Amino acid sequence: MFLRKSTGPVLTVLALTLLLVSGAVLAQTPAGTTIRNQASATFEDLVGNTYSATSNEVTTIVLPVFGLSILPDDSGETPPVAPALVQMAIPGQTVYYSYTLTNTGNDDDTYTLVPLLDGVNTTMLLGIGDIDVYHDVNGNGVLDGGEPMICAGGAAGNIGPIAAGVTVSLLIEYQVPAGAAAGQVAYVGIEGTSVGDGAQVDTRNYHRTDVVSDAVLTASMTGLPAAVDPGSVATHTITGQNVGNDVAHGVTVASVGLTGVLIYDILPIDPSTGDPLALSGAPAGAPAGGTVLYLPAGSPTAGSPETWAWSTSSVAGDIAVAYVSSGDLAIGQNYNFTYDVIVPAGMPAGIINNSGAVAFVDNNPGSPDPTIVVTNNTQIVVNVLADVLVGPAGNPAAGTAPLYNDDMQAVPLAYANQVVDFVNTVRNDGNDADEINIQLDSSTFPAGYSIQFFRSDGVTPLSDSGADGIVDVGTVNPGLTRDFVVRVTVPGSATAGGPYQAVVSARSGNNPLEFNLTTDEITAVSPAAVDIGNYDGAAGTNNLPVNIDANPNTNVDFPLDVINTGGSSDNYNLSAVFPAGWTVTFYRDVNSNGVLDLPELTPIANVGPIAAGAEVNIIARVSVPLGELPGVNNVTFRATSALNALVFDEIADTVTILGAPSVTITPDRSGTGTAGGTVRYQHTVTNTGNMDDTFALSALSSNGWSYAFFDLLNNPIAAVTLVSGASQDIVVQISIPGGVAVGTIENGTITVLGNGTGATDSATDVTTIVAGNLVLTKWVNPVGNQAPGTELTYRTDYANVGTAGLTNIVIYDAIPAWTQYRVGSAAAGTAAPGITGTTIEFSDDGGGGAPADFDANVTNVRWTLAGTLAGGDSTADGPAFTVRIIAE
Amino acid sequence: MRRSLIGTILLLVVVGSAAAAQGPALTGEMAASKIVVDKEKGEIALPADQVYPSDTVEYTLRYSNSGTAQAAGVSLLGPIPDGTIYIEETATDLQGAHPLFSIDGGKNWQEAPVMIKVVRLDGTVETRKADPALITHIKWSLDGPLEVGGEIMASYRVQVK
Repeated sequence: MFLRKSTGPVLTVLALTLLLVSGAVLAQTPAGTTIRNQASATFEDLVGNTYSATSNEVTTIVLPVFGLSILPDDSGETPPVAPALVQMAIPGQTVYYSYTLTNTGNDDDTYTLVPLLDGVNTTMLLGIGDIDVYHDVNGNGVLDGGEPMICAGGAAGNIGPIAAGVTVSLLIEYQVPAGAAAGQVAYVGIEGTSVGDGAQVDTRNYHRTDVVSDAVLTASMTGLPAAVDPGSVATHTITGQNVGNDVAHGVTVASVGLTGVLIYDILPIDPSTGDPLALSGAPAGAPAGGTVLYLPAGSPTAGSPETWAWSTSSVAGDIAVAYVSSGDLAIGQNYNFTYDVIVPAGMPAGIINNSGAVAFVDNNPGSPDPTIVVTNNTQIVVNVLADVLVGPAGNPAAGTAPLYNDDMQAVPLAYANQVVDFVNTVRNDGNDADEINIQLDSSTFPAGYSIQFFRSDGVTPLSDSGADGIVDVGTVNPGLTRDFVVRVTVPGSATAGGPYQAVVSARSGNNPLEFNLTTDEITAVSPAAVDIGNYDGAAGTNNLPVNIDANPNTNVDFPLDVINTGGSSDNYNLSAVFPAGWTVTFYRDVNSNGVLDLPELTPIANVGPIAAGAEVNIIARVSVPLGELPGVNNVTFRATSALNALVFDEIADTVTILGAPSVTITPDRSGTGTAGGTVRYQHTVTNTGNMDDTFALSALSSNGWSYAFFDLLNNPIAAVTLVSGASQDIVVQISIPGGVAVGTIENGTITVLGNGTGATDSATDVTTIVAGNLVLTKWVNPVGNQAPGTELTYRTDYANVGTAGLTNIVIYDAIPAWTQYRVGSAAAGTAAPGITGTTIEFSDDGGGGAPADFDANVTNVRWTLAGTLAGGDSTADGPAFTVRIIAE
Repeated sequence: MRRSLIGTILLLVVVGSAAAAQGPALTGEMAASKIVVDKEKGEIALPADQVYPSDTVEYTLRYSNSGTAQAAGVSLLGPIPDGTIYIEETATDLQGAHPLFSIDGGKNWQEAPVMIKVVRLDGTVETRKADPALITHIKWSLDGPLEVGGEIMASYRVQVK
């Protein structure tokens, strides 16, 4: 720190605000200033999350304006009734008139000065060429060696550049002609013109010089040092001389009963308090023997100064100080008066303007008394002292003296994806308006965290209101505070940790060496978190595993709870681990009833945003495939943070597959047989359950006939052993006893029975005993599995294996399902001996919509054979037709 | 209060955007115009890239909901930048969103006229109308939601110091 900090009481903010802001209004914005503005908006979504959006930044540059003011002014008439200044002078005397020129624009400017002479009303013999104008650099009202001449011999000259708002002192000098007579006058003024804008002119400012033959006192004031720090002492000195040709008499100060030349000054005011600057030490005057006088607070200052309520004693709050000489001031005699004032520690930076005066009585009974000669105006610069404090909200002076850098505010816990705002307050303890820059001095926050600065509204980013490229809180007037927001955004991927600190500096724009620090801390950061468990129908969840029994080829629903146990809104992706062949689909249990309702049948991959601490309900539907074996299966459901993929939670449940034994034997068969012969039927036995088993084969004959079982290799079998899902073809052979009457019907019930599981099924074989025996053998070409679109040709060979001839033979065949008959493909084939003709007929009682050359309407084909098929006759080229496996 | 037709909340047809994030999304822009008065044409808005002290600058805020859901609790915030002073009665008086003013950096808000309590040096407290120079922010808070595609526009004027 550069300076000691003050922790003294802060003035009432609003009262001070008015005072200072009203003063600030008067100041023009400097040329080149960039005015920046940025809008912002805040809004919420449907679940109450708050967002903000800032606009673009618009910038406006302030252009220069020019102006000047030369003071004092005259009253405007020609000649002026009230000249700007009036001095008495004796012939031959060189007179000096003090003016000030102020740059009232907002940019540096140079001014062209030229003296003016009212030749009409000037009665002394004075020409414009006799008048010079100087720059009174130290503003003491006296032309010192080295001070530059601006206007030589009445010619125009330039002064500048002069910064905006700055006042310089001028001196107009000329000599009263030696031959001038008392009573003659001169009206001399000065005109200034802005070089930046020639239309900006300040003219006239006429003063008057009266030629006398009397006492003439000069009066000038110095103020030292030229620049002081608040808390220091400044010295003002009024000096002068009786340059006239007669004695200067004193005035009578009635309040103290003293008579003498009165040298006096109304003390300058501290603008921050309105109080006069306090005297320091003992004022001193010359000629020696005089008395120092003080004007108490509240005393009127109207009328002639000798009539004021002067006192010989000093008290706090005195508003004026004076020195009254002990007698007259002789011709050529000098005088002076010196006193010190204290520049208050809290005095704003700026200028202390001051001027004094001297009062005396001349020797001309016709002129009004007393004669008052006013000094020049002196200017003492009150230096800018920068002093910046920053601290937690409302407490910028927090910390340990003298540096106050160790103050800190902390948020004990923050969560991943959370935004933490620290409100900090800066205070300008300096004595001038200050553009206070805000910077991150250091930080221990890990990568991924962001630290941003906002205005106190929390949404407008701090910007650079100046041109130093550093964001700031704007211009803060002395004694005032301003809040700003340090926003720490914790990344969603944040891991547990802390404490983390951001050290923020507030640095004076007036004096970049002056700064103060404050620390904003997040003591601990908690990462994103989630709890997934089984539905419990209430707040919280059940983290104990749940088992659901299920049959194969069914769905089981696990109602689940997902709870955001983190500190900020998060979303969670859903996944599961489950046996191969299974599927798991997640749904939102919108009404939280633990049941997957019809309106909820929209699969989800994530639960959607969940506010911190909130819970949502979901359903995990587990599809168990057909044939799944009995047993316990693990199904684990996981919810993974969208903020941090490393953060997840699981609930491990189980699905117990129940035993489901089942077997089928297909198809039912029918046929014909002859007495004493055998008939064989082929069946397929399938273990359609989820349990392996051995299935015993048995038959129940309606006629008590004998049945036997074979495999396709013609090996005798009594049972088939099948694992779950497996099939085996078997052959059932029926032995028809001899002598059985033609027309006898045999119903055989073929049963398979699981030895272990008891699963059972039956098929029925119906056999009709016939005398002859027409045997039909059906063929297909090509054989085996075929792709859709393949054409299949079915052929039925026939043979009479009996002994009697067969007539009226009709062969029926159906168009298989999922096929379409090829038009014109039905053929008679090669007729067996004795068959004299074949009539082909069609049935078309269904279907339709087949492609060209095919007829979906054909459902059956019938061949009616004419003639007699004798016993033992046959054909190996029987009737045939072609179909096409539907491909559409 | 200056009431502006263009300040009315506009509800526009939803224009879907595949890239739009789920939920509401406000996008906004701010424009600055220098307001000059022409004897014949009345007020004219000129670019405000450059101004002189005492010039009038009008800031216009235009925000729209480009998201996929309505936005609730919408507040627009217009700061009074350093170097300028708010010109009274120039803030748009939106239907359903009267302008609110802050003199403390956005902490507290009140409708016009903005009042301030002044603690005088003798300790007495006086409540009086605040100097416009004290105003730091203007805010418009919508009564209802801003629908998808909806737009809100407001403006205010400042004078360059």
